[in-house]
Amino acid sequence: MVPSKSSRFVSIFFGSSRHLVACVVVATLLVSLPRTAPAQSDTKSSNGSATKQADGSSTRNMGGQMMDGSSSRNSAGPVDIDSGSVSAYRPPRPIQLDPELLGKALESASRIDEMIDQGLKENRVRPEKMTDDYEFVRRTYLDISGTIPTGRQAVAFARSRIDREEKRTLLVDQLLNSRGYVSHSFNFWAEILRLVDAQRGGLNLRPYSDWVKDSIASDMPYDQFVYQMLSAEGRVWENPPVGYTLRDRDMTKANLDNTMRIFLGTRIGCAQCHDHPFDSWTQKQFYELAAFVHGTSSRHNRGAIDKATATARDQMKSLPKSVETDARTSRLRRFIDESEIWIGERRNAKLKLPHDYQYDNGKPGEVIKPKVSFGQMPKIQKDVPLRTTFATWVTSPDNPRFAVTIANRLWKRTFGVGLIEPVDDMTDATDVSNQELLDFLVDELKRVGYRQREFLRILYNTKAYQRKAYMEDWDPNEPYYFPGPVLRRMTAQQLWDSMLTLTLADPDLYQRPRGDIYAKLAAINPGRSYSLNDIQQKYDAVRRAEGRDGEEAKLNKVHSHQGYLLVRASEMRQPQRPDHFLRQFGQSDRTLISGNSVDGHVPQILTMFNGPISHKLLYEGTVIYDEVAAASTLKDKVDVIFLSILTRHPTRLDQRLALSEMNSEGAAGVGNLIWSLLNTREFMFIQ
Amino acid sequence: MFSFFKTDDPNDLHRRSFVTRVASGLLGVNLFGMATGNGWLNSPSTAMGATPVFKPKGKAKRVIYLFMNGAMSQFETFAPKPGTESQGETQTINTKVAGVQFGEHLPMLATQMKNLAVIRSMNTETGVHEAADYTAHTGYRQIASTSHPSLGPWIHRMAGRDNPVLPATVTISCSSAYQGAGYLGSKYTPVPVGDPNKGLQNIKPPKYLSELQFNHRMEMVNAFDKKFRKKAKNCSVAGYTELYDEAIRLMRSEDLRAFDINEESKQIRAAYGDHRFGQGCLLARRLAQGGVKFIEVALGGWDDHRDLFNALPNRARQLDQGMTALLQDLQSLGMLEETLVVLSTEFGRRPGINANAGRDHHPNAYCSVLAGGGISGGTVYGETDELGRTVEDNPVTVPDFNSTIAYAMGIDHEKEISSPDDRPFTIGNGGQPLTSLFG
Repeated sequence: MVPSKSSRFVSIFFGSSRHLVACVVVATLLVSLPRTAPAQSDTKSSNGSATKQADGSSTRNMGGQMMDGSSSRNSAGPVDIDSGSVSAYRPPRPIQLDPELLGKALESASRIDEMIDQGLKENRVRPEKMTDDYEFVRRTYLDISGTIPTGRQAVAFARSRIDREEKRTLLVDQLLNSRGYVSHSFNFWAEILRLVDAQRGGLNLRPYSDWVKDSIASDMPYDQFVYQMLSAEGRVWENPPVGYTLRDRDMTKANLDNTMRIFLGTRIGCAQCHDHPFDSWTQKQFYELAAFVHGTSSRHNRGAIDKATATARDQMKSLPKSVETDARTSRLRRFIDESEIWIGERRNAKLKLPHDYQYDNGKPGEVIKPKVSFGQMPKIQKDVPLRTTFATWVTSPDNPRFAVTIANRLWKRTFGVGLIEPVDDMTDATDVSNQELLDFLVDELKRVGYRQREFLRILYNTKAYQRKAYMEDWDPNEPYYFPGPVLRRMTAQQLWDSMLTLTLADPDLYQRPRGDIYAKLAAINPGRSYSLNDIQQKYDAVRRAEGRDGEEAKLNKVHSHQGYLLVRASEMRQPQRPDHFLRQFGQSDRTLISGNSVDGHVPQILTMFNGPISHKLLYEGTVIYDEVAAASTLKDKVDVIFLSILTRHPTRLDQRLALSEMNSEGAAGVGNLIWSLLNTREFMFIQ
Repeated sequence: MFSFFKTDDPNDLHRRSFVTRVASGLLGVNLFGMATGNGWLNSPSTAMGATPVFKPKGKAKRVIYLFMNGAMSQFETFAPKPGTESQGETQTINTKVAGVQFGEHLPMLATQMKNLAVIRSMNTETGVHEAADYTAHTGYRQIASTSHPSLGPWIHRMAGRDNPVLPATVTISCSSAYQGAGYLGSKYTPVPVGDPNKGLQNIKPPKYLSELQFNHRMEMVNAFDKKFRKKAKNCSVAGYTELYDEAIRLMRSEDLRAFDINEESKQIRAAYGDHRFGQGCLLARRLAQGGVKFIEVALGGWDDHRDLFNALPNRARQLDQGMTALLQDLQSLGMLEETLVVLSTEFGRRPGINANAGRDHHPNAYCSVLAGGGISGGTVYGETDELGRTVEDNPVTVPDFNSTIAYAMGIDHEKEISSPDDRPFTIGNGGQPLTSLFG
């Protein structure tokens, strides 16, 4: 984007001074300076404290207290993406990995390798060879930070003269510490938790998504993360993890079903209506679990809000009747309604067996007491909400399915296949491809205090991960012994973000403004009295903030090209509209848990052939265009194109073809080459 | 009105022969009988990999499947229980067939009853949306180790396609989760259209790019990609390779106009209704004319746990308008006899109203509708008890229902297909077709 800068870099990468290259590489790896824009305060590093962010704000603690100081970061001033000077909102910089834990992580990684190798040997499976530097840097960027590396980053890594193992370890740490990790992990959790900007009926759930992102950035221990979601009370902009319960508002049983599936890898949905047909779950057991959460109420403080808005509602009634008035008052009533949505617990709620209950172990209409079906029965205390007791049970280190579910999920995230498949359907008959390894992983997860980032650090440092990908189909009915990670198609988000890496100097520059500004404007608080006029003013303020002249809309306009907002997938509306690139390539509509897909279909291909995004890359002003323009010889230009898109040098055959294309077609040849490489299957798949 | 299907235009013949050439080159398909008269719509299906052993009883050549996402209430629509505590506030109306009543929000469909077979005894195994949605689309129970294909890919696999260029299955406004080809492989994957008003996106290359230049680029793609593809002996990679060929054929086809509802007159568009579902039905009709074998149009939002009596009527009116226009249009074009129109949902809703003025899930009894494709209209099949709680008469499962669709299409519902891991599956999953529905 900035010619003067790019020419300098290109000469660094493709010039003859190897010494200079080595110096720059070391600096890049050690100081961790991936593509951050100049003049950002967040380049200062944190010392790894668990609760403090580098920018001085503190994260929420277990008790669900509010994060302070967010209002000052909401301002998102006008931005000029071309100049790179931006005063956009920046969320807390991700907390840094603990350098003290590295040694132990490497030890654990080699222990895992021993167990994998043992499994391979016993089952006579030949491991894949080790990846070369280019293969490794591409895959690791995609897996950890969610995008391909730039050509420059790839070459810097490959040419670095640091010992191979050491530089791989450094790269893994650098990427786990980057914003890209937060962005990519957010996408991962957004599909599992079905994150949406707004619930059906219009309730703004963005504070919940923001909270998930913050939790990833601060590497909140996973058990706390889940505990907060299951036990939080209040309104979503005051205590965002209530969003988890609100996602299935007034559908307590469906929410329970999802909880069991996501966090305990157990499917009990069938047992809602009858004994599970092919697992040991009974309908009674479902009801016993449901008794813990049955008291969940989504309008816990309705009375107080009703009181606060009594004046306004009286005034509405006395307005002269007309179609317009009706429309206005029904809009305002819905608006008041949002402030009433408040998660709490009805203490005396009793769950009864259904009237058509058909089994011998209970009578229709019988009141059911809370009881767990595995693990330790938690103590039920009078002054502790049952939801909290349930949350404690789910996340307890003694719960036999809690740690194992997340350990297996993160293993699958790393290798493409779980040790247990599928990751959310364990039964008594489940096969584990390597039980010893799974047990070890569970212990490790607990050892690192349920910190996902520290846990992943171990996995990425294994040789098993660093081998070449297994390129054939694996049979889901046979255990997979991990000769290497499996070949995967990029997720929709990886593909989109990779296109962005080819386009923008710093794809992570834009961070979405926080969603709670709307919610704060909308809040109607108990203990006050609101007139119709007050409500109308609040309503108008929200509409303004959400409208075309709102901060976010203005900011987005600057970052858009041909109707496409060019920012990372994690920074866009969740989910995207159905005809968006992301949805075409498999982002889910967030109806179903992990509803995302990597299946192909014709419209995807058409988008790659003819869509505005692939064509933007052929024009001036994109990173790849400028890099190519700055390279001096035709051969260098070909190199830049291959390294930028496929993260490898051209083969001799590739080079011959590419050079003849450039010679005969001139400038158009560059476009043809870029377009062609984007449309290879090699680009779309992660090896 | 449908000039793009005329074949007396010399350019059109030229295009057809181009299509034929490309298709036979790439697919090994025999296209005799396709390019005559207005004929390829009426010609026998030129099946790819189909084995016509089963004697077709139904006359259907294609299916338009209207899926009511979220579980449509049977009481408010096709199976009311007037005068009982189950019914709630919704009134009922008489249809054109004596003794058959609908919910009050379907006045236009009530006039169509003579074309409809209403099945009031549907039941399914689960009241969980995802699981029931899965079963409704695939006929199978969701299990860990297998990804089952949905009905469109099944029909494509069993009956081939009528137009070698247009996709065999198109979904309109559908959520993507369970409309997949599963183990059949990605060449059977449905083509989704998000917004019917926009049709297929990105179908034309930029103006500066001639066909020759495009071909040149594709040659480069294949050269650069050769090594990778040789290494990756992988279904997913191979599937993409086939999709590339298919995308190119599609881009070059005049038949693409089937995706453009802007070619329809204002009156026709208005008749279908100014809403996404109605326009989706109109697009479905155009695609049916173009030779698409299976088209699904979704209408979502039926998960009425709360505030049903305010939220449901508007949605039901969209259904009423869109589906009625579709039936009338197909009839006036003489296509209804060969087009099976299906309406279904994942499960039903409870008799009785809950505390939030809504209805909760009820898998024990719900209703589906069939029309056209050889179905005898004016039929009600199956019945529930007085309150609509359980099925008392002629219970119908999803496998039975899907077998009936197969039967209407002349597809053997018991013919086994092997998945790549050699397990046998059938389109009917052991269900029995409701043969009595056919005239």
